[in-house]
Amino acid sequence: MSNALYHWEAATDKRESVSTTTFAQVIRQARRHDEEALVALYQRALPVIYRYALARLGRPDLVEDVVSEVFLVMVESIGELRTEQEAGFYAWLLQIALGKISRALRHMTRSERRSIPLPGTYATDHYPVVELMATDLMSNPVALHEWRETLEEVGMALDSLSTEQQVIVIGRFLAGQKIEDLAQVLGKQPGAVRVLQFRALNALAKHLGLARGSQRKGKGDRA
Amino acid sequence: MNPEEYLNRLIERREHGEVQIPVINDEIAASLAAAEVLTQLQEIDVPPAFASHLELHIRARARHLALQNGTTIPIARPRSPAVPQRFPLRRVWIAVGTAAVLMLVCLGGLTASAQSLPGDILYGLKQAEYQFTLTLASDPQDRVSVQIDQLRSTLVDLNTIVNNGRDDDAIRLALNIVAAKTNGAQAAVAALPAGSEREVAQRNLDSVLAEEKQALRHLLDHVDWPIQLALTLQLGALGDPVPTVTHVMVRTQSNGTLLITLTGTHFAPHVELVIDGQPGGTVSQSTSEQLLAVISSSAWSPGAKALGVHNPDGTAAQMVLDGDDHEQQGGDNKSNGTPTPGDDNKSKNSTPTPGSNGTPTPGDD
Repeated sequence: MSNALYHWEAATDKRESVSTTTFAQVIRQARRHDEEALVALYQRALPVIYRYALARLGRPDLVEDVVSEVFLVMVESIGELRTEQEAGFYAWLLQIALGKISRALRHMTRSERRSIPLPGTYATDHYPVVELMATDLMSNPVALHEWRETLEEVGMALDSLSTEQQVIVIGRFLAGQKIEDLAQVLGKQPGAVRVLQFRALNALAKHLGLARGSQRKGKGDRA
Repeated sequence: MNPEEYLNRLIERREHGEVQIPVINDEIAASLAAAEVLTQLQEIDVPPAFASHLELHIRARARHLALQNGTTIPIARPRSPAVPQRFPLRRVWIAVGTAAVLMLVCLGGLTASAQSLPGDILYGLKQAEYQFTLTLASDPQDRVSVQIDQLRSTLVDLNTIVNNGRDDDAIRLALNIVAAKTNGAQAAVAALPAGSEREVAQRNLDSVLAEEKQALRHLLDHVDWPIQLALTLQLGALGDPVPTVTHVMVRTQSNGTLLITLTGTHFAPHVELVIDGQPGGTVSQSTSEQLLAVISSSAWSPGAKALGVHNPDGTAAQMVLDGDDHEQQGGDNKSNGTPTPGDDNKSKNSTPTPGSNGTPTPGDD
């Protein structure tokens, strides 16, 4: 295992940030289809992409299909990735995920869209139970039900954002990227990204019924 | 300070663990709350089975792509026809050219065979390559690594075959190869002398066997009954608790229905009765070791019957009750196979035998 991957592994296990140099080295190795480098990138990005896809789609079975497709595209197309920055990598991966999710949403009827099951129950006869949470919520059905509804609303709220806004909020709050790094990969000034972040969070707050005077969007509002 | 910058400062302060943050207005407070909701998404866990299953795929794809890149043949620059050639030199060039073409053919064949799957014509070449690699690995430690790598590779092949919708014969063949590679890897580790090297090898083996169990369990949902039986047996061989059927009894009740009793192990709650590969009968009672089901006698056709159990997780087991059993134990049902009331018309005690229901037959490397 190369030095870069060794340092990477230690950081990834603890979900810590890795240095720019280490990340760039891993990307370069991955471009040569180095198995360990590709797996390291996959392990790093999987939680982010999975959580994002689950928020958008709601159905664990569909999420697994979409996430699999995203990472197989990553393996095939890593050579096309121009950036060697982590924020750029996430932005690129999220764009792939957005495309796959949009396609999956087009193929879903409204009634099929939301069916995140509670633990120990079957949402339908076809979709298996997936224990989504590893926290205390698992032992609290009421809290878990509320969380499920929140997740559903987050998915619909994210759907209302532009691609750029989604990349910013997911990159920022799920992947832990800094505004400055996101600005660099998006080719914008940090101030402009802060404005986009502000508008995105504002829109999310309205959709989620968090803003004063805002009305919570109904579950069936989104086509 | 503009509100965008102010909000970002607040988000950063919260990221650094500050709980009490002065907020200037409702809009900022709402945006901060939205950021908090997004952060909560980090509490969602990725199902470990899915994560390791996908990792297997990614590894296989990466290896495949690396192999393709590694075998790229540089295009030879054509020689100018204007250059005069002397005869001996020409013969050398012909020899070199022939060798290059042969090499190209060989490399092409190897590349194609690397992509082949059990049931493909070129798969024999891939197996020969496996064998060759094993033969070259004279050091026991290397042999373990090769065996484990090959087991991983065969697991990916099995998964690909199922995902590609290949027929049951191809799946069965792929599963046989997985079983053989599993045995090979276990034997290679067992052959190591006791010590730290063996401990490391054992940990690697345990890891790949855990991947194998996860992969097999994942496939259970995507295959037909005969393959579910075969996958279950392989899971059993790996030490997973899986159902077995050790005794079958069919008895006609006074109301004309048949009472079927299956005895065995690891029957799960909501276990189903399966007759000749199809769900049948109504399960009236089940424990982890016994299933009682009722079936209409009109639904019971004469001849051999395979009676099995199907657990909700997809694991399955069955026992074949052949025509001879009917004749031997239920004389009156010779003509139509219907048991005589009040008698243990059909009863069989046995242990499922490999091969009878699609068991992978461990081969040898």
